[in-house]
Amino acid sequence: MGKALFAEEPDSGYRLLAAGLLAALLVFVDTRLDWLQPVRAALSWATEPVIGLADLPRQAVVAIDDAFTLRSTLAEDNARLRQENLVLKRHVQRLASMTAENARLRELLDSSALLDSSVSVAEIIGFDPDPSRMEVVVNKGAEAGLFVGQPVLDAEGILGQVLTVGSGQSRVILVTDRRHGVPIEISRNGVRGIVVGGGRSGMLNLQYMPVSADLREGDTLVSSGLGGVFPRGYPVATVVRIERIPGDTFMTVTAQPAAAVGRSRQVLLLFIKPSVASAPAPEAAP
Amino acid sequence: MRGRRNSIPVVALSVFMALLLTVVPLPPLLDWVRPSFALLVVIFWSTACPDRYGTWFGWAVGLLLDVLRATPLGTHALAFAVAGYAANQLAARMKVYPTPQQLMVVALLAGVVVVVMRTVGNLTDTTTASLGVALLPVLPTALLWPWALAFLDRLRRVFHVS
Repeated sequence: MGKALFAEEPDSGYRLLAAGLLAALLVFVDTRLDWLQPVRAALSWATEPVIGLADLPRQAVVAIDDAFTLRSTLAEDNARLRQENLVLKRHVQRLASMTAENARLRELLDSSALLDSSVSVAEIIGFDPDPSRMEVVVNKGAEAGLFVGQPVLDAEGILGQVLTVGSGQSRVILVTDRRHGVPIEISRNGVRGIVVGGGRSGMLNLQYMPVSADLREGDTLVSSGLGGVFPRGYPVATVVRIERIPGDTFMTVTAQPAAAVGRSRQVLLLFIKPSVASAPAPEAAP
Repeated sequence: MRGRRNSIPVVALSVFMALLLTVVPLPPLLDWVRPSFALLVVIFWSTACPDRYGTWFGWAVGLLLDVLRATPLGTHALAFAVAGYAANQLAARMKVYPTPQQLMVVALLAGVVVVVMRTVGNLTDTTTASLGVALLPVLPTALLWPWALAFLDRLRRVFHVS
C-alpha cells in the first residue's frame, strides 16, 4: 500500500470469483427459500431514507398546496364532504341490517361465519423506476404489523398485495403487474377465472375463459376468495372488451381495474383472519 | 494519509446520491432511459482509487440496489461486482483514454451489467422486461459519464480523497 509507484494493484480474479459465488449463493437462497427476509429488513435501514427523501418534493408540494388553500374552497370541500358522509352513513345503516341478515342466513346454512377484518391506512411514497414492474412503496412496515401477502385496497377495489416488508416501509405489487394474478368470479353468475395484470397498459386480462362462457361487457369481476390471499367479494375489475376469435378455445378479455391504479395515494391494508388455512399462493403464474 | 481518513464518508455520500437518483420520480417516458447512476459511481471509484475500491465495492452497492429495488438479493450484486472488477482492471488505462474511448468502456460495462442481471433473471424466472427494453438505459449511462466524472472528481478533490 505504501509503495510510491504502482501502489495500485488491481483486484485479483479470485476476488471476483469469491464475490460472484457469494452473489450466486444469495440469489439461490433468496429465490428458493425465505431465509433472507431478515437480511433484507436489516439492509432496508440504509435504503428506506433514500425512498423517503425522494418523496420529499411531492410532500412539500402537498404541504404548500394545503397551506395556501382558500378559506372558501375549504368551506366548499367541507360542505361536499358532509353530504358525502350523510350518504355513506345511510349505506352503512343498510349494511348493518344486511350483515345481520347474512349472518342469520349463514347460520341456517351451517356455513362458516363472516370474516372479521380491520384496515390500516398507508400512503404511497414511491414507485418502482423500472417501467416493466408495477410496484409501489408504502410508508408502513413491520412496525405497523404488515405481512407478506397482505391484501391492499383503495376506496374502489383491490389494488394489490404486499411483496416485501421493511421496518418502516413495504413494497406492494399492483394488480396490473404482469406477474400478478387475482382469482375472481363474475359477480352476475359466479363463473370463476383469473385476472392477470396487463403491465404498462394499466388494464387486466381475464385468462382461460372459454368462448362459450357467459360473459358480457360491463360485467363486474369480484375476488373469489380462492388462493387464500384476497378475501371474497371485493371488486377487482370491470370487463371492457371481449374478443371471440373463431376457432380459439379461449376468448381475449380486457378489464379495467376497479381500483384507481396509479392515481390513488392513500391505500388500505387489510388485516384479516383467513377462514380456511390454505397454502400461501400469492401469485398465480400466468 | 489525510485522504484515507476522508474516503469512506465521501464514497458513502456519492453512493447515497446515486441511490436517490435511482428512485427519484421522473416523467414516465424518461423511466425507460433512466441512466444507471449507481454504476457510474462504482466505475468512478473503482478507477479513481483502484487500490481500495473494486469488486467488493461494486458488490456492496449492488446489494443495496437489490434491497432498494426488491430484486432477488445478489442480482445487482453479481453484475456490479463484475463491473467493479472490470473497472478496477482498466483503472490505469481509463486515466489516459480520450473521452470517446471512456464512453465506450462505460457503455460496454453497462451492457455487461444488463446481460448479467438478465441471465440471473432468466435463471430465477424473475425477468420482467424484454432485452431491448433492458438495454435502453445503456446509452444514456455512457453519455452521462463525462458529467459524472467531472462531478465526482470534484467531490474527490474537495474532500482530498486519493
